[in-house]
Amino acid sequence: MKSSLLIFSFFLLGIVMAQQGWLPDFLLENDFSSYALYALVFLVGIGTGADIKQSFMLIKTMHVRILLVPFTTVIGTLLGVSIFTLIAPSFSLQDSLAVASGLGYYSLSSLYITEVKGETLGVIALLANLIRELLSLVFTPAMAKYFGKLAPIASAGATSMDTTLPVITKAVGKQYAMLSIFHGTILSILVPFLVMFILSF
Amino acid sequence: MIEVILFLVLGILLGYFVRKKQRFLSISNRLVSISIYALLFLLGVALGTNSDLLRQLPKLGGYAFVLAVLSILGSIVLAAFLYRKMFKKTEEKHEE
Repeated sequence: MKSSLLIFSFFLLGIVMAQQGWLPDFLLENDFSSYALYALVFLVGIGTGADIKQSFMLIKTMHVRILLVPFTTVIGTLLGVSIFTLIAPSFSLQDSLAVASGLGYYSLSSLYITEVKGETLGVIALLANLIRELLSLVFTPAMAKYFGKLAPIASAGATSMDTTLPVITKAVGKQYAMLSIFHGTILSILVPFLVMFILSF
Repeated sequence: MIEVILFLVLGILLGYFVRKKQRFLSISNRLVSISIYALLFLLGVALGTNSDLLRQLPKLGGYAFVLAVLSILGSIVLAAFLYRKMFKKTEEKHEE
């Protein structure tokens, strides 16, 4: 949660500094964002690659039904946002799916989306995934009560491994901690691929 | 966007080969945070210099809120279904 606030404050700082005209011209004239994005995905890749053996081992030790949880979250999320096209017809299905495929991992997903689809959708993706994390934090006890013990984990999406983990285990019990971490790990690995896959159409 | 996929795959390969080098990995981890800060700062700058986008912000925020709520609803409804079908019984057995 602390790091989420820190990340978000960098975004706000950028808005304020640009508004006040406190930025040097070279920053405004050049677009560094694609290079920074390449660097970021490369570095994220290193982290994924380093853990990949452990991730597979974790999958092997898990019962088949545990594997269904991250899968269910992805399908449920994508089905849920599909409704948005009916509410706001000007918003394409692809855009809705792309925003949702951030699965709460707002930093990475919004940056990809900005690069491919432009700043408008990037900002929506950033806010939507941030709001997902915040709502998950606040409503975890209610979700556990009315939708069962997997609901808070599903709602948290990729954040179920770190920022929302303490709240989740408090609401559904420590025996779900491993599942929650596993769920978040799988989704975090999946996010870049899912966003790119959806935007490739 | 083929470049992004290329960099991601190259990163995964490199990461696999250096998976035992803790120092290297912790540096790379710190660089991830730094580049996320830098990129979100730049996204903020892009928003701050685009008055049209800034004017639309309340509307974009509304879209974002509805999309977040629908994401959560969709995933928890399916999660409730999965819990009832496959998890609840074993849990009750454990409690007996």
